[in-house]
Amino acid sequence: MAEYTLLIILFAPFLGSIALVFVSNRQALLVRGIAAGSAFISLFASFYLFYAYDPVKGGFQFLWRYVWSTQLGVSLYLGVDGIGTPLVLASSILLFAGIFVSWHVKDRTKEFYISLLILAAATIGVFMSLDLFFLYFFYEMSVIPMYLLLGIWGSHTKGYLEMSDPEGVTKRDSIGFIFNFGSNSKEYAAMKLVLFLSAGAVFALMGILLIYKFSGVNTFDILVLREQAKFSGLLADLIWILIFFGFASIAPIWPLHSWSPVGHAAAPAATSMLHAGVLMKLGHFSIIRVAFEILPETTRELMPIAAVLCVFSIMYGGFVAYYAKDTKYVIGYSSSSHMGYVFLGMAALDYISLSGAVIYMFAHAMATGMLFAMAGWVYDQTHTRDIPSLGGLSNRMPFICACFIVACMASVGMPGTVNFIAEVMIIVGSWNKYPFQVVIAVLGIVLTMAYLFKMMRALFYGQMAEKYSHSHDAVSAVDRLPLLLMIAVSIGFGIFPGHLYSVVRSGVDPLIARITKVVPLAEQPLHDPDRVDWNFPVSQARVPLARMTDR
Amino acid sequence: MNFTLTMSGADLLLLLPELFLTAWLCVLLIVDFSLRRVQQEHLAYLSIAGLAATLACLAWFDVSGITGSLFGRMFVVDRMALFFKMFIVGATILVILLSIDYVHRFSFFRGEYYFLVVMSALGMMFMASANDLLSLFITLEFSTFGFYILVAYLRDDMASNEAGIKFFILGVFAAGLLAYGISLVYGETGKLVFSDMASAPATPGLIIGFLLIFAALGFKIGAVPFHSWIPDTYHGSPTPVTAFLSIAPKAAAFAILLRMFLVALAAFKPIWALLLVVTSILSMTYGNIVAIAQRNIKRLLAYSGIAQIGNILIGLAAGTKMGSDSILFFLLAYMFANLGAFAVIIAVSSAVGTDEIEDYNGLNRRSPFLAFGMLIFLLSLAGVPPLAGFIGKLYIFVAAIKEGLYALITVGLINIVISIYYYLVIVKKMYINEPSDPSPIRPSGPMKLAVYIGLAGTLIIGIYPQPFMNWVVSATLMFSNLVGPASSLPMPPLPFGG
Amino acid sequence: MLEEFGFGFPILSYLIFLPLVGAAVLWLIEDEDLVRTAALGISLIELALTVLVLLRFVPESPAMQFAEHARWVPALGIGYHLAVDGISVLFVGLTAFLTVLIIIYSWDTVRNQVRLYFMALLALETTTMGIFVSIDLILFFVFWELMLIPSYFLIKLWGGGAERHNAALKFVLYTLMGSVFMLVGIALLNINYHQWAITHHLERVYSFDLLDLLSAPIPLHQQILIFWMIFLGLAFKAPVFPFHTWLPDALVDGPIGMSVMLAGLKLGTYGFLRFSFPLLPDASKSEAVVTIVMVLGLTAIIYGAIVALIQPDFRRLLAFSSISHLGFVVVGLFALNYQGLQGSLLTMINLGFSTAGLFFIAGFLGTRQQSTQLSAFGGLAKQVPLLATFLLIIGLASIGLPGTNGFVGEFLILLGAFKAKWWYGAIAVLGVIFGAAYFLWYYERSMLGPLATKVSPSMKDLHMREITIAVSLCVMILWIGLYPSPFLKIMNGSIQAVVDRLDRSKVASVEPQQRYVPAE
Repeated sequence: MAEYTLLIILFAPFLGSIALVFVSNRQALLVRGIAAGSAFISLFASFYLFYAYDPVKGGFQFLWRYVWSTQLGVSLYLGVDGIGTPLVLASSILLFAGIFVSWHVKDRTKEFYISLLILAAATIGVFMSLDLFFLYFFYEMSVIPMYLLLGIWGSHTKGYLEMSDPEGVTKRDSIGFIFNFGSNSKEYAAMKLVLFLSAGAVFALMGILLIYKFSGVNTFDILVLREQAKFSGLLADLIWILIFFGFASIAPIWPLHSWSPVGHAAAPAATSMLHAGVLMKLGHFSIIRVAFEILPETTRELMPIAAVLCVFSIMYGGFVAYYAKDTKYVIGYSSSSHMGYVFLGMAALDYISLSGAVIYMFAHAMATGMLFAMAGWVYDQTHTRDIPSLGGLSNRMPFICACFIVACMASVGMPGTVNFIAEVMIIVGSWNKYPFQVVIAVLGIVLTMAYLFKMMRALFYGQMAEKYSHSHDAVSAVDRLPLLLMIAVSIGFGIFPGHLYSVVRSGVDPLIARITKVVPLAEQPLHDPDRVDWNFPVSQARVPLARMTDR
Repeated sequence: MNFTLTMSGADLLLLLPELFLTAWLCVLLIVDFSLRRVQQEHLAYLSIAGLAATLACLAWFDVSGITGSLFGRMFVVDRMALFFKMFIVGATILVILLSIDYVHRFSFFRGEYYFLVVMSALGMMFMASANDLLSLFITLEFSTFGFYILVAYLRDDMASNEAGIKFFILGVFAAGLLAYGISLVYGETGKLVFSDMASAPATPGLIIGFLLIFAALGFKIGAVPFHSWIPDTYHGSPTPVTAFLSIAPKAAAFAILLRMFLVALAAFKPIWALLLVVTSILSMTYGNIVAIAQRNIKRLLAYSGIAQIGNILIGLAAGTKMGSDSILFFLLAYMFANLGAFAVIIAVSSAVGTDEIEDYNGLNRRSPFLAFGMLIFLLSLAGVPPLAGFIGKLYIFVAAIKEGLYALITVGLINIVISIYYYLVIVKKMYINEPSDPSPIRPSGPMKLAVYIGLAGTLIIGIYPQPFMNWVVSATLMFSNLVGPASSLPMPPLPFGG
Repeated sequence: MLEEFGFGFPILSYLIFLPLVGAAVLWLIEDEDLVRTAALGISLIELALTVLVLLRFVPESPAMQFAEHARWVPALGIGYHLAVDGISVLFVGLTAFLTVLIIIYSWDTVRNQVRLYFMALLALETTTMGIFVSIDLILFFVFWELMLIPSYFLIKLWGGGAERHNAALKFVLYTLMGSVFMLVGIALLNINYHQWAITHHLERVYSFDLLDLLSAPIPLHQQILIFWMIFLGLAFKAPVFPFHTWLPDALVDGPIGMSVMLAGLKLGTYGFLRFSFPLLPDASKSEAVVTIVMVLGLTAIIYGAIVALIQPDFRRLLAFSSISHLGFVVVGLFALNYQGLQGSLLTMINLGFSTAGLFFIAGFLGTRQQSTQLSAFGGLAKQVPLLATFLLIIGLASIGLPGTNGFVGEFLILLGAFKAKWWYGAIAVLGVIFGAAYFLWYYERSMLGPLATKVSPSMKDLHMREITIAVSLCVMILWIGLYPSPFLKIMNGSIQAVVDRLDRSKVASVEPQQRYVPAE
């Protein structure tokens, strides 16, 4: 199975969706069965991938290549490194969970699952493609299913986007609303999402084409470009800017974020899960895979941009989330705020911090997945996402309440969840370079706690309105499975992060070494727990010896 | 000048497809007139059979590499000509499939309809082989005659008549320009065959002449600023004719444009490259922006067609072997998507009666199949992976980036985003809106077949483009001496032996 | 993996996880009485274990005892490292002791969601135990944060006050606000150790282990930065004077059990003694730091006492009195001499008995009058003599009457304060006087004099469970008051080590062979 692992992970959902085309909507169970089955195959394979990936060997593994077009110099070139592996795992977990979360979709079930599977498969495709063309191919491919999912099965956001602070003064997500024109329809959100993402995508495509032209090797193969392409000066900066902002718009980094919360708010639960969980990470991942790999020097010069913007992402998203009245809007903004941490970890260009960023992507996928799943459940039960009108649901749905608490804890980075490990790593790694940003990020954690607890309290405690007395808890296994799965993963990796860490580290080390131009003191095998932490940049030894010896 | 016309059997062989089709035309007419009881469906299948035979014959030429030239190189049969002929014949077959339902709307002359369609196809086949100015003029007019009639075929529909008049007047005007340009060029160079002019010096007269010829062809392909007839004609004329207009004449015109620019004018590339860049930018931007405001789907496709032409012109502006490859490839992708879209339009309008975009509300509920087809075709036109249109556009962009046409590519990329918008508006109506009248729509057999063919082409070319790319590359080998990088690249070795 | 047991089995891990397992077991039990009994049983076993630890503890030694060491995230140098020394071992005992009393108290006072309540209580015990026995800073932080979860729900779901929801959120947010800064401080320590370890080519280049961090020297300016970072974390939790605003709400609106835990276990000040002083001796000694903190501490003493003086509500009074007492502890700590440290450590333990005891009494009153407002009482001594007596004993202990434990502690603190600067001591003494004032005045108004009309003549005196609680507390109070030497012995060694480190401020003073001694 080894050499076909990636193919299985990638094409199981595709084949599933193709199979669904030939099934009638009347056999609902068969439809769901096919979807769940193909997702499970992909999930199983990616777990195998995750544990079969050899962090000692490092580099790109499970390579599989098929020459796709000689004229364009394109080949379907799949392979994962320590950075892609956990993200592939996260995607397939969220896909599997998402299929069960949306188990009760009644309208055009078949089409729903087809879009969902294609969306997830495209995402997975980005995480494992080593060919710029296919990276863009899958990236662009993931957009249209989002449109259908939002447009068809989404829900109008009504006036929820109106936010008011405790004094009742109306607050507005300024930037969000500049582009929002105050519109709350799901069609609007879907169209906006597609246009933003496509615009970002063509920016990135321009950058990719420039790389293709000026590399002079006439190939889209990242590994070859990484070795042979040399860019410098204005051209390099231009390409980097195009690539960075092109991909960062899906991340979404601060000024380009306004599509994302609206999209979250309009999307059905499973879509929000995939969207916030993995689709956003396409941005960071593609920046790492393209900008970091191919333009290391430029990255070193220009990455501070991210360090500046991430502050706004964190604070801005956090405050808006605090005042928002729509559950999904809160979660959406919280995740766009948390993406700021990832950018911070990336910007520091440090072994620990970048590993932290990657692990944070994984952790955040689980946490946000849970939150959205449960926001979706509450919405299905109460048909409202208006926080003030909800309350006291803990009596009706204790299980959901308990899971929600766990999810909040995970999202805050409570110790024992994998988020905590990631946050510590980002803080430790980034301090030397960006102490200010670290302090901001730390305050951001408190902010997160504030708005998540605020929401939890408003949803599950206090007085319950009479009209919600009919709402049920998630009792059937089908409804509980996804939540339990994500909780298990989040806490499991939080307590035993060893393998995850070494896998990520094996992907990060060579990258940072290329960018920061510092060779680790000693190349130690990564599997030996004592020696794991031996490769680190000398440059980190900031304190001059004199000062330490004279005391 | 005087031709010494020596024709052998071998030479006649080169003409075999055209001769066969001409004969078949007569058969069609005779059958139509003599047998009263014959239904128009039979004529349709008859003409399809003839075209299929022609297609087979052309394919046989292509495979066995039968090429050559006739009449003092007026008429060449090279791989590119064969490609375009097959393209045109294939498109015609699809169009006839589309027509079978629609023809019922004609009150009379149902049989002649097929005769005219096949005749214009024949004309365009000649156009694909035209290698000098005279044959250019003759074949162009020959192919257009049929359309003059076809466009105005709905005699009792004012819009159709208006379309006919417009098309006729502007067509004749274009013909005048063409004749004038030809005379100028001939006067300057004394040559008629494209390849002989390659070495001609750039005198003002020559440049003006070529500009006029380009203008005339610009009318054919409907590039801005020669597009004014397109919307009304598309709108007014019978939908199958619109479909036919939207693909076949443009392809034929591009065959001539390729020969003219890449062979006759190879020396003046900097000049016409600029000209084409401007034209292409105008066409893309104008077409896309105006398309946003359209309420009628045929008009929308008309404007999007203008924009697509702009895209193709990018490849022509690149003016390299790879550029020409990308044009041929894009045309393939465009044919399937566009004809497929028209198939759906005809199927819907035959049930609804009009072509308003509003009528597509809730199509997904009324006929999932048609909605899915339309979705795929529109996305392919918008250039969304993994569909043919995406590969086509990217192929063109890659060809252009190698020539460093950055501004052009930037505009092209931005236009992709714009176009996505209005294509998605239709998708929204089909999938998200609820139908005003939920009665299901059942497309007829030929319609289904056409849609299936369109889907197959769009998906296969999108997912497995290698053979088609090889085909187009081999079709334009004649340009491989052009400037620009070799089209086929050695794949880099696989690192660490995975 | 586990390097060192005092017993041949990892007793500290048992201490941590026994209550957690117990909580899990409670989840399976339906019957409420059974739940209570089970909870009590578990806490008693826990208490027995801690007693075992205290008995086998080697006094007069600075050593880390019963150490357990396992790798957790070796990559980051995060380890599972448990040990107790003279500083922490007494808290371990105190925690178990108080938990038992709380469970006894809650026997009939908690009526809704009984099972959940006891589970939360045991979870709280687990995290608190963890805080006291963790040597690895991240592990410590883990428990430090996890403690918030059960606390939040204890206050929120079983609190008496109307404002309990906000009180719970306030408590969590304030503590988190501080502790995230502490996390940064911990990260800084790690980075510093990392840089030092690289340049000395050590094997472990990342470590959060206290004993490793002790060996890395820290430049002064960085020490001060880290000190304030960690100070924030500890000060919010303690709470030191300007950060105290959450405490009254939490203590008044929370359930008695939670108040006892919050007021009785001085986590924040323990943190100073455990981490700040040994790790950052120079910063802790530096003039500015000492002055600032001292001023804060003294202000807390006076402020808390004065505000307590005018509180009509008994629990609010206790809240401010414990702020005042905490001021004492801080003053003692930052006197930075032997008596000061010893005194404040002893006082922390004392408060565990006296303040907690007063809260229990407040609970008794609350159950009888549905209120702890002064207006509800008056002349209760006639009606409920036992209650009044215990209130007097425990109260006198809390104001430090000679013969009670409070006296020993406060005396040592004052001694230390005077040794440091005479006016520190002088101001601190005022606090003692105020303390006596507010308690005695309140006692006089509520217990003595004629029986108030609002008091129903049917009011019962203490019943068996309550007497058990009160008596056991008084026993401890008098024991420490009259014969403190075993307790002082236990803490001496470690206190001395800290003092040495402060005096020499030579880094890496903890000798390797001194790190672990097998208990016998």
